[in-house]
Amino acid sequence: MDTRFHVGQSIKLGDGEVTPYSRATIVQIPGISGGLVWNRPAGVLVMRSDGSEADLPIRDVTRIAQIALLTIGALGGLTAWLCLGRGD
Amino acid sequence: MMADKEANLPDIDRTNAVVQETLSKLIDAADVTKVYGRPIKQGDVAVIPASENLTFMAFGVGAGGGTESSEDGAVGAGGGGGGGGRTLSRPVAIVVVTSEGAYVEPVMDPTKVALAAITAAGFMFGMMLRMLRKR
Repeated sequence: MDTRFHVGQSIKLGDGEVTPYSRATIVQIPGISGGLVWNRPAGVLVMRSDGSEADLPIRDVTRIAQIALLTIGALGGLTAWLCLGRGD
Repeated sequence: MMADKEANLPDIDRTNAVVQETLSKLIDAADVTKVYGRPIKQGDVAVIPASENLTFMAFGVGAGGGTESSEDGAVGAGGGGGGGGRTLSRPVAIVVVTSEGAYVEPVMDPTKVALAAITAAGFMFGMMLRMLRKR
């Protein structure tokens, strides 16, 4: 398993430049020909002509919401188990 | 006899080349260009779509040959291979660049979030019902 950061080519837009970067996780299981690549955007670096820089991270709100809801579900189930008898 | 068998085996080097080429294509899926789209410009505003990609593939090859030769001296041999793969893609965000600045506009997938909410609620209610029934 390997995680790599890739920086793309800068794109000239208006009076600045935008440089996208991504994070890729590569999984290769020994003994099996093939593998899995999970590639997702990590952020963009915006450079203005006046010299100012801004790093804009890209957050996957769908995944954050999914994890939050499933955590709430698991905690709710655990609370029900603890409060209503622990399976006795 | 052994030399005959090896001579009749399919071209292993060519097979290895195909395997290497396929693996390099898999690694190409990790490139930054695969998650960011080409900028779309409209007046002073430019947008760059960004998506998440999940690529997986697996394949196998095999070859073998017989040890007994036929009446005309030919030795049987054969080989084959197969595989499959898929790429799943989902939009994650849009990068908006204007003359005043740049910002990231996240893309929410309501179907996935609704499914997660239903799963979580189902698990909680199921657990509660199970506990109440035991009382």
